[in-house]
Amino acid sequence: MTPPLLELEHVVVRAGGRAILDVPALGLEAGTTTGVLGPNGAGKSTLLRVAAALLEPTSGRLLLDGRAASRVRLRAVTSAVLQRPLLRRGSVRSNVETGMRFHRVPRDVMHERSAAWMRRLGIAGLADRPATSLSGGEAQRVSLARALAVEPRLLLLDEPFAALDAPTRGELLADLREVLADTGTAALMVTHDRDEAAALCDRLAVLHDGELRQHGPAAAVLDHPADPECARTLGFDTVLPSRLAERWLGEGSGEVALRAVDCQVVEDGDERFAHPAVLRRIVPLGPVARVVVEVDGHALQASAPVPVPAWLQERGVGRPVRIHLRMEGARRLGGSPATGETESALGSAAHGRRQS
Amino acid sequence: MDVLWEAITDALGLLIGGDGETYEIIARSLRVSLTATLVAFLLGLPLGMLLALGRFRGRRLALAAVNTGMGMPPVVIGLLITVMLWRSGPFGALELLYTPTAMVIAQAVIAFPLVAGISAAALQQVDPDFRVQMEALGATRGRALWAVAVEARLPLLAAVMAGFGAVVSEVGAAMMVGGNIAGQTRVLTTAAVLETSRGDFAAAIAFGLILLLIAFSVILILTLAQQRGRR
Amino acid sequence: MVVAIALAWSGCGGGAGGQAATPESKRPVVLATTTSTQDSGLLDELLPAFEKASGHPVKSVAVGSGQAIEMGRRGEADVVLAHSPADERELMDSGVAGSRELVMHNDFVLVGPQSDPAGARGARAVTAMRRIAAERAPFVSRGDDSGTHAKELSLWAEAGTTARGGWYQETGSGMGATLAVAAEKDAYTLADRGTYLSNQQADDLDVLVDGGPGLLNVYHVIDIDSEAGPRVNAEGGEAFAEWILTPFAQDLIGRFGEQEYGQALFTPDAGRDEERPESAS
Repeated sequence: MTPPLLELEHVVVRAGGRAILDVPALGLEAGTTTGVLGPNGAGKSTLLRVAAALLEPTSGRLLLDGRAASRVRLRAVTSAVLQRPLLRRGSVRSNVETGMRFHRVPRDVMHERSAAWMRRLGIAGLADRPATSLSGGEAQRVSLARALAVEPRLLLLDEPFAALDAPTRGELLADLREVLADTGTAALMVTHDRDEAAALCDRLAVLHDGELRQHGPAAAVLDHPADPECARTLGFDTVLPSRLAERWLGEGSGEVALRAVDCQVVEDGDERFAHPAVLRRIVPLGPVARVVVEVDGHALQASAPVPVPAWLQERGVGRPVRIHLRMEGARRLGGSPATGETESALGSAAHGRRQS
Repeated sequence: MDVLWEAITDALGLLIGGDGETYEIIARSLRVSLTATLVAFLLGLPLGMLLALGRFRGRRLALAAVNTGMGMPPVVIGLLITVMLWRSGPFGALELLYTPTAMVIAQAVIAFPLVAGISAAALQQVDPDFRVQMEALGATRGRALWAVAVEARLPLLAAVMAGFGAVVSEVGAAMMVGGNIAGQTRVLTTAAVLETSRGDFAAAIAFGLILLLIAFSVILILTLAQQRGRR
Repeated sequence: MVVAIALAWSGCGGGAGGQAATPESKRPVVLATTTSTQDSGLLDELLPAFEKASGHPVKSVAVGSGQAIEMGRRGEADVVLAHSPADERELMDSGVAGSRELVMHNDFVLVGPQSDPAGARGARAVTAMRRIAAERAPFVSRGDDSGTHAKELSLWAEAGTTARGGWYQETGSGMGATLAVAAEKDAYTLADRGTYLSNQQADDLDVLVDGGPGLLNVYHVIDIDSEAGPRVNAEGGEAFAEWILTPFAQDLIGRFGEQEYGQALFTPDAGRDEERPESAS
């Protein structure tokens, strides 16, 4: 079995007296794109810089192809695209060639590659333009071309689309996915956007407070949060504390997370399925309205359709409502983070209970 | 007013008339000041890098000290160097007093804090992530630092110009360590002082005008280099 | 390393100019002298001649009398050419000097505005000074402990007056600058004839008092022993002290200024009896 392209073993980065990154184990396979999700300050950029050999971990080591890797060896096979394009004064072409120059690629090869990559990323027409005259999207394309022209085995991306507007982001995403698929380059991408992660990544890692909380195949991670914080990051905005979950869903439920859409506000209904709550706030959010309710002092995120039904509008703050949980969308929290195993959907268990 | 006219005609006469002594003084002024500026740059840029991009305790204190050095009176520097170069001084054995080399040393010391301080400010203007990005593309630490310097080349050239301007026009230290010896250490500024002390104000101003012309030529070349690429 | 090369290069270019090229490349002789001596222009003639004749390169540093003597005492200079007898005697007393020889003299002149408000014209020096003080006419002094300043102070002392007050101004500068200030302010001042003649600004001032033993400005050359300090070029200093007394040098001195100013600025005195007018006017 071939070892992963890059492995992090017990990597800890300390700064200011505390651990800002703590990754017991993380492996990146050749040809795969791994996403790193997490809120601001979670340590995502730190993880990226460690993988790029731009930052020396306080303890732990990195293995390249199964062997301990020095900074020099790692740098030779990686290149990075940081959040801001950070281009140099000069033409677009000279910028695309920057990395190759550092890697001492022979001149003719360099010119060939830069031409090819500029074409690939749709910026061939800008080759002689000064880098300072580019738009945000164009600049980021140059930054991508520059990093890819080095032909790294591992491409590192730090929220590369964060500063772009939605349509540009979409285009660039699609182009990047194609390029990665065509070249078979492995990638590690930091993002705080779930949709981006879903679109680009084969595997996902979730970081919180520097800790690696869970990682595994993207689809699995996206659907099975490991703990309440991961739940929020992964879009499961409604977290039922154990007491509540046990009261509503039966013993042994533990903490349960749902997406707000799976937690509907209803006028009334059977007590067993429509749980009592107190209305706090209604916030229209486009196609769905976010409804904040309160149960036993806990604030919960529920939802209601848009346009908001008349009964709800008239109900008034502080008045009782009921919430209906869609069990297929419920997830019990607490799979093992490191191995990527997650508990199966709670839905089936509860479903069974209901039927009994 | 006629002193000024006389000065202008004097200056032209000295320049065009082929006065050997004047040419020699001009050449020496240029040689000494350009060398001193070069030395100040070779030493000041690395220090500027250290102060701007380094991470060590007391960095800000060191930066403040260097910036204060800009305000050090050149005469005081001249005096200190003279004392060190005296025969009875620590470096007396080098027999450097009253030589152009001593003047270069003095001027380099004067220009050094200027160049270092302005370089530091110039380098700090570059996005701190820029260096990281260069390293992320395979640059060694040295090459990444060089890329930062190249990125900041406009204000760095300004640092050089400031250093040159400061020393080519300086007279106190040049007088003290050089001695204004005819044919050996006389430069445009000390020659102007000599003419003033002789009462020949027109000649003094003439030297001043020539100095302005020389300084302008050098700065012009540097400015053109700096503004290369911008119309 | 680049720095060292740069320094060497700059040294080469500048140092070579003006030195006699001799195969043995003798150590330079540092001559400490006064600004008035330099301002007169005499050195510009004498020094190249000395270098050619002896092969010793010369570095002549013009500073105030006091500083020149001090440089000699410390061994920072190899030979001193000064005109400040009191300071010179101190230097001889300190024991680090070789010999002190009379070289030349010129004289001081009391100059002032043509209008001569104090009536100094034609009087004896001391009398003129007394009158200036009585009238409180503007007087500009060098005030820098130079030979000229010393002479001026001795004259005030002889006149029995204290020079103090709004009318008496000290520039703390060299002779040239002081003359310029005096000319600007229509004031009296004491100057050596050489500087006065060669100073353009002084054209507005007339010579009101000259001549008489009290106004003699006498120059001596003092060579410095190697005892004065490390690295004293005693041989070179001695060479200069000897050379300036040779007939050739004395002749140069005696003819200096004739062409430009119509009169010689200095009178060569080598070998003359020292019994000369340092005493009372």
